[in-house]
Amino acid sequence: MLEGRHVELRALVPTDYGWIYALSVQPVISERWRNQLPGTLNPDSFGANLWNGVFCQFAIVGRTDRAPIGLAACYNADLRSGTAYIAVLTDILTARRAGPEGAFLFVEHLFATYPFRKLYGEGSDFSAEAFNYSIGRPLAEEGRLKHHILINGEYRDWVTWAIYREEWERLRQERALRRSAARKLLEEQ
Amino acid sequence: MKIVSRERFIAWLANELGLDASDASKPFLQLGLDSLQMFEIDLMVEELGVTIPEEILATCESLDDVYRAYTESATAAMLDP
Repeated sequence: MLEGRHVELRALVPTDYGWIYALSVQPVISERWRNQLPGTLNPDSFGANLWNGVFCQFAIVGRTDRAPIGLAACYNADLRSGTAYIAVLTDILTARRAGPEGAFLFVEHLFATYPFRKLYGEGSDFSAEAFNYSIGRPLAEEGRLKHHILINGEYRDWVTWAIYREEWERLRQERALRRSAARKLLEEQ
Repeated sequence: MKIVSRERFIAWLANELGLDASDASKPFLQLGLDSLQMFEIDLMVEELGVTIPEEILATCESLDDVYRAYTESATAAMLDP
């Protein structure tokens, strides 16, 4: 379940805090990552703050070398309502495959293990532009605070998306169909 | 290992992604594809039994580029199984 083709998710341990801190303070990440409240990037309290509101979280590591790649976190979970927020932190320049695969494994795990109806993600509209094509499937825009957050001297919208369990299941079925289509393509070749 | 022809490969990917096969040379950026869709493309190519190295995948900017990377990776795997 927690193993993909190239990455796996493993329990987070205190020795991970150093590389997660180094990742979090990268300029392009620090303004988008969820831990952006004042003081959360204080190195002395970073490890403790990393668990604020967290329901579960994992380190994303390479399958072959076990090298750390990123962090997948589920936070502000409301089991009564069946909702939670998720965030995935990776170096977007070096983890083009590992980041999405880690996120994919994490969402699979959360829907398979807990009774969540929907999983929320949030970020500035700058991030929204990066996921433009996926709006509608699997991401649904659920809310938008206009001109909410100051980034690089500009007030940007703050957007909340959701992945619905039913939509995720539908995509899983599509992937299964795609596998058989790939087999057919090879057979007919 | 079988290598799928360009025509069939592009038609298959374009169909799965809801794109026009005639857009094979058009940059993904122009087509509005995002990182999640790139991950889907990666998964689809792996369904054909070929893994494109990440550093090469990162340079793919169109379906044509993906096909070129697919054939090169498949050929490399055949030469060095």
